[in-house]
Amino acid sequence: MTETDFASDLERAFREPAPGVDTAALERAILGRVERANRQRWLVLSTASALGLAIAIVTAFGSGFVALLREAWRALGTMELHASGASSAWLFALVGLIVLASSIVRAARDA
Amino acid sequence: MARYATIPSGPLAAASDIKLAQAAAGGDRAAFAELVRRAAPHAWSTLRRMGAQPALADDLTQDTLLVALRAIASYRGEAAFASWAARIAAREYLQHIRKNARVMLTAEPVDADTPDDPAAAHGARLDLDNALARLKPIEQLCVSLCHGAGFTHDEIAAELDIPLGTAKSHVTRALKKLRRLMSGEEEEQRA
Repeated sequence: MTETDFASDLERAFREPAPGVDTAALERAILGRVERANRQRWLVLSTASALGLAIAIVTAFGSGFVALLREAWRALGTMELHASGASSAWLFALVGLIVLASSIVRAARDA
Repeated sequence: MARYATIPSGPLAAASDIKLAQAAAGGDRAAFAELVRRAAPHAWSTLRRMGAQPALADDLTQDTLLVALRAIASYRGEAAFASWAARIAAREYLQHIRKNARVMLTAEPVDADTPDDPAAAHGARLDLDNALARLKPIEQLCVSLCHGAGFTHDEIAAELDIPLGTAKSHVTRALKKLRRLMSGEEEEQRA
């Protein structure tokens, strides 16, 4: 066997698959892992979006609601609802709603 | 895992590696599946020839193709995708060796047939995989890096942290042994 023959034999042999290779099993395993990684990524994005929404809801309704309750409690005591207090509660709710809307938009864009 | 549908490989099989890589970079899963079909056997074979056991070769082939998917935008099509992936596979294996304190490089060949094997005893012509299994692990690794994964001698020396001359001599010695084993020269000499 000449040097050239050996070199081309070796090159060809290295390109051949080694015995025992199971291409179908490898393909299934690799694509399965990609699928799982995508699912995990989606889960992380969804969780982050849900968390954003929850914060927005708490901001929108939580502060406003607490303020409203406080006003209502005070109104019960004085038997009248302070116009300024009610306005500030609704202002809180409005800001919360804006945050909620921006959160939804961001979540939709990320997805 | 097994529920992933098999993609019809008709038009994809004819597509070039670079077209498939561009499509895969854009999120086309069928294109990536075709690339996996092309590259996985070569990556696995490279790992086995470097000295990885089958289960390790399975794991590292999976890791390799996931790394390849993440870096797919950097594939320029200068070499076949399978060769590009084989280089990644080789690096994954080298990383594995480093983590395992080079135990594998100092071990004796484990896949070699026993000395009582008639084929070995009579210097019969062997195929590449049987011949590689008869080399010292470091020779097997160096020659596979050089001829299987396309590393230069400089790259081998750098990756294995050995002098360039040592890397060259491992490759040369391995090639001499492979030539003898693959051509059955021992038999010829006896005759």
